[in-house]
Amino acid sequence: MSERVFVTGLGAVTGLGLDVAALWQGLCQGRSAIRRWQPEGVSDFPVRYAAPVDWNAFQCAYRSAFWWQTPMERRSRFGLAAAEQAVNDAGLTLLAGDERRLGVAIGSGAPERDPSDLLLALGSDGPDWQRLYRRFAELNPNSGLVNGNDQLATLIARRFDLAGPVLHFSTPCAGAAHAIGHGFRMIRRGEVDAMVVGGADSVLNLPTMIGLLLLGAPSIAEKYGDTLCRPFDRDRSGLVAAEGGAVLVLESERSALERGARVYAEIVGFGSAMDAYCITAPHPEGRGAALAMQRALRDAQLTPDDIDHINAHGTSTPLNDPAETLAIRQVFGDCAGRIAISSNKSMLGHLIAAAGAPECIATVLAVRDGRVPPTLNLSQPDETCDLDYVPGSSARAMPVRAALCNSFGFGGLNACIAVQRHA
Amino acid sequence: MLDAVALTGIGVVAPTGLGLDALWQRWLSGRDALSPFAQPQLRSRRIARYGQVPNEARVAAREAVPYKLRRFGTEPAFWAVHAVGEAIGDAAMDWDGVPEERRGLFSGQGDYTSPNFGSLQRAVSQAKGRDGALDLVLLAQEALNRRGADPSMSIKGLANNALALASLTWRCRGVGVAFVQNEAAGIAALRQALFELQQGRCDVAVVLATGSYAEALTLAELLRRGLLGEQAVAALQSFDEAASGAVLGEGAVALLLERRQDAVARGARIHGLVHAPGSYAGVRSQIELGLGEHEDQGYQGAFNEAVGAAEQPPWYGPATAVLADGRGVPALDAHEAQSLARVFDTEVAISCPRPVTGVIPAAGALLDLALASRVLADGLLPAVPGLIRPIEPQLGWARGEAALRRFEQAWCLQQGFSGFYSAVALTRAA
Repeated sequence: MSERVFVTGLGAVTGLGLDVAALWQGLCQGRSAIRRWQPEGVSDFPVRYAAPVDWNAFQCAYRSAFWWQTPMERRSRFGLAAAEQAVNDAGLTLLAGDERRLGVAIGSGAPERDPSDLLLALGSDGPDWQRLYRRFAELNPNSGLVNGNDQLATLIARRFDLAGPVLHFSTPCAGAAHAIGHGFRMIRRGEVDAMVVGGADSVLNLPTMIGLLLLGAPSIAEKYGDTLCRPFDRDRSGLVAAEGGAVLVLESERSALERGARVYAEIVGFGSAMDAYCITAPHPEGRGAALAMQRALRDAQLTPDDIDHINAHGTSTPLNDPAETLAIRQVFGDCAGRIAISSNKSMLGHLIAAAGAPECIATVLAVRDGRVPPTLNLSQPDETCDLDYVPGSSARAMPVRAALCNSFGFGGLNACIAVQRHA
Repeated sequence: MLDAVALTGIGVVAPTGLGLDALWQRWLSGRDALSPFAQPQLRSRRIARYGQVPNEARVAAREAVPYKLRRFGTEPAFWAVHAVGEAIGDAAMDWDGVPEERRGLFSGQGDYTSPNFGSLQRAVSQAKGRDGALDLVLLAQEALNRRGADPSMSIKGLANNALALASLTWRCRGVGVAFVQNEAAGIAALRQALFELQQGRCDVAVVLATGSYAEALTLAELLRRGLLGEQAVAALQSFDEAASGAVLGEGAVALLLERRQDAVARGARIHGLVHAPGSYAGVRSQIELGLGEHEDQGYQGAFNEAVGAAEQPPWYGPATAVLADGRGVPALDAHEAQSLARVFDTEVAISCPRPVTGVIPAAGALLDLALASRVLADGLLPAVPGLIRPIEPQLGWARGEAALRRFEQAWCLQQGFSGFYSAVALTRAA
């Protein structure tokens, strides 16, 4: 017998603010976190906009936390803060159970690299590993170079004394969605009672942004200023990078009922699929994306008729948005036109490996509150993007019985989570 | 309760070269496959020996990757692609007859920072000012405008690099997921594959794991934690009183899994039945070497989960072989041996292949599982190479000649450097 899985805790640190309320209000009010940005010390970097976390505010809020002095990457700080919020939100009685039945699943991306660390790697004629190895202690202790890629998952497990599965997913932009989806399945299978799931990422450092720019991923458009993130719009020109962390507490029905936990919504399905098409581009017809959505629906035992809302991957890149539109059409057929689709990235930016986490939170709250956030900056719909993307700048009030949340990553990895209103 | 799944294909790229047989024969011989630590850009007096994938195997692995994809990949990803191909061949299945959407792929991969550094090498060199500091403006200009960086640096730096290359090379469009968490990654991938197969979400599950420790920062970190001994370690002496530290290595493994009834129906040779792994997070500190809060329950917790998850619980008896982790780190080996003494009685034969290859990130536990298939098939449990004075001598350590016995099951154990315990059983197919 499979367990039902409830969402009982939420936490978020994003460009829209330092908690879930700020995230949800910001999304519903069409507020954008995207602003002028430059990498430290490089004023003429081609990428001029991003959606950073307000670091000063974050420092003020968390510098008294006992873990603040622990060397860790920026993304881990966001993730740990979000995890604390989520566990507190779920209620500390969550932690009173058997620690072996509580686990962690986190998605995050490439390590954060400090440019000065790169310098340490070089001798007079190229990389000098021996020199770097000798000077290890001089590296920035907060850098991803000296912290394991799975540091956040481990930190969360240690912070809350969790001895169940500790998993770290690395499936680029689908990382957090995979973490949420597989955490959901572990509870449903009865392996654990609860999972702390989500993701954190920060690509707003020079080396990582150089890498993304060389791939042609971020927008360098001048015309639209801070409204350059335009999912499904004719003038979409690339993603706008962001940072942050978001975490959900998923819990079995039995555990949630036993401790009288508040339930936001129910996770009912998860699907994943690979494109096997191109390492840097989605399949043009969205084949992998469609498969992931179909599998999530099947897993949830839902039909296309049951879905009222899709929280789209919607990156504002020339390739993703039409491919995702085609995938939705393929899966939903005649129903596609009545589904309210929105891209949170138009306001939040793209949190890369963590993107699926705040977007899943938004999906959960859309189902709970009956409000679907808008897709900002969609002023000239692309003819290849012909669905209802909730244009405008305010949330649409509507009943949302069930919803899907899409995340698609580099390397052709696709994931989809199905969320249903808690009855 | 879960059915065990059939292991029908195995692919290996290891310090012994390509293929499982080379690794098995080397373990039987009791000789290690370690070589002097000689990486092109990294030398160390503290690290004397290393389990390095030989050059001819590197070349063959690279050739296994379609030419157009090579610029996107790292060497460990190439090894993984080769291992997957070998596993498919070993399974003797009509790969083209398996719908692409039904081919699941699950990967565990180590961390890599080398490609990140290397890809920016020229740009960083050019951007170094006279005062020795890095001019960030110049760095960006060099990297972006003068192609002083590898355009694929982001892709190479991703820890799903092996999964992406393997999915493209072998046309896997089914369920897929990538884990990166050092030695625990392979087990996490295996666990996921078993569930996806059993839930019917794929018809074939390929589990791959790959990793290399030939990376400056990881080595520095392990040295700092005292895991590699106070002085250069000449040999990995698992569970021996004389052990002084771990010897590291690299490699990849791929396991092809099918539902038991499917494998039987197509008349496949079944290497063994893989049961759901049990795991337990001791969550050892990454900074200091020391046991975490729950570690006294580590292996027992993993066993309890593994046995509890199995439909027909595999447990132990005289026909049980144990492939222990044995990293050669005195504190870790002592803890493991004490745990083994609590879990098993003296009749159980215990060995460890780790001295042959060194400790391999991500892939180590799955390599053990591959070797366990030979233990069952050949009725031989090779000795722990170099074990002269075992700690916890009352345990049934395999020493001297290989133990000749019809083994019905083999347990593969791992605690890792980080305290992620796992126990996975392979049993003989009926």
